[in-house]
Amino acid sequence: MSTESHPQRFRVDPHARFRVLEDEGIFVLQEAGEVLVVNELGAFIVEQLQAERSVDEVVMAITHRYAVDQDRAQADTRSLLDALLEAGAISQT
Amino acid sequence: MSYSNTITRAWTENRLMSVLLELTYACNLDCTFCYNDLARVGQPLSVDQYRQLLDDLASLGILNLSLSGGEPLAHPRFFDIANHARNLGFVIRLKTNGHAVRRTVAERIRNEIDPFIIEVSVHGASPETHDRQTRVAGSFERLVTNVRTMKSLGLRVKANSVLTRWNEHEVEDMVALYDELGVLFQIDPEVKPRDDGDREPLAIAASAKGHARYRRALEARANRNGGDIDPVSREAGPKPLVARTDKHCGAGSNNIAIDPYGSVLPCVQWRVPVGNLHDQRIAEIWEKSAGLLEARETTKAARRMLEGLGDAAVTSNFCPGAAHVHSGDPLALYPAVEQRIAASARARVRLTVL
Repeated sequence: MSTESHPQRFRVDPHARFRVLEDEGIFVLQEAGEVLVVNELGAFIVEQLQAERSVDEVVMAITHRYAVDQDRAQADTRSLLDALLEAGAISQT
Repeated sequence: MSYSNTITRAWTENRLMSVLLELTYACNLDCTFCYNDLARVGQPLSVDQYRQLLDDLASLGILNLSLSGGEPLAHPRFFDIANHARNLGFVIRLKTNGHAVRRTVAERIRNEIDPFIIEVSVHGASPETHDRQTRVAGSFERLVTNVRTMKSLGLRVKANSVLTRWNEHEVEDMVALYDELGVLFQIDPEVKPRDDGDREPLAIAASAKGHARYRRALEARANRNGGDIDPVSREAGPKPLVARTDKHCGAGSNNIAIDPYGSVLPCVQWRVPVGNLHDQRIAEIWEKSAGLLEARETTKAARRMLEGLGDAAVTSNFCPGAAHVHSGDPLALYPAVEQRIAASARARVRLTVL
């Protein structure tokens, strides 16, 4: 996952469920019986993934929506995706 | 970010998170203490109405969906409805008696619904006890076989039981059975009246000795398993949480129930309709129902009332819905709660003496 360019796409893992509740997102990891809660930015990123956007497109969407530069957006996105991958909340398509 | 905070906000800000659907009151068993009001009649929701409802619930961001009954699998279009729910991404809990879940049905459940958990009703640890309750010979053996099949297919299973005078003598064996099957379990120590207020089921409420035996059985299991007394929270997240709000419970605040005829209820125990899906869409009911506003205020009043009675009352597992079924008053204490408060008081006295 940790490369300079991110053309790959991710999706909510088939064994996980995801919902946005106003300003936060909730993953239920059915196999593990665990819950993950992500903040507003995390929920926004996952919604972008659900819209089948690539990681590069997600980063661009963040820079358009929030007042952050591309390097910061890329680093934050990479950090979140790594954590969600490790938890089994998302998987690569 | 924590799920506990999410639950607290859901209660406080009236965010609907969980919906229980009673799909039908039809059933392939004939349980003595079935709580459903089987005399109730009305226009059942159509499959198209269920599809619309599920679409609406997904749009509202509802996370948890319980499919219940009666026996939900007895609904002739169960798989159509449940598969639509699965495609909309709900966390699905299937509450079934397990009688119909033979291998082919279990495989369909796994492949077409992929539920978070299947909750099966178990009434004892032996054919004599279980079948006495279900009034269907062979139902115990069939259920145990079906649970083993579900487990072999990778389905997550939880046993739901109610402690009664009929099974209290074998509660240790029930716990052992659940552990042997490798399922989570929850034993409700309280038999409740039927939804129509009929108190007949209370005739088989567990005795005081039965309650003591039940507590000892759970404590013995906890000692064997390293001090963990709660078989549900040990493995099956999301763990039960207590929200830190001014409400006693989330009835009508973060959860509702819907009966087969479209009546929307504050929760499955609190059988006071606050709207009907034949007349309104769920979003409108959720936003505008005067009955829901009243239920939310009642849960606040319940909290104040219990806090005024002391810690024993706060932790007595009081349920406004059960109170309403008992007396028509959702704020009135009922016998099981009064007994728990008294038992807690006796325990405090013993501690003081010691």
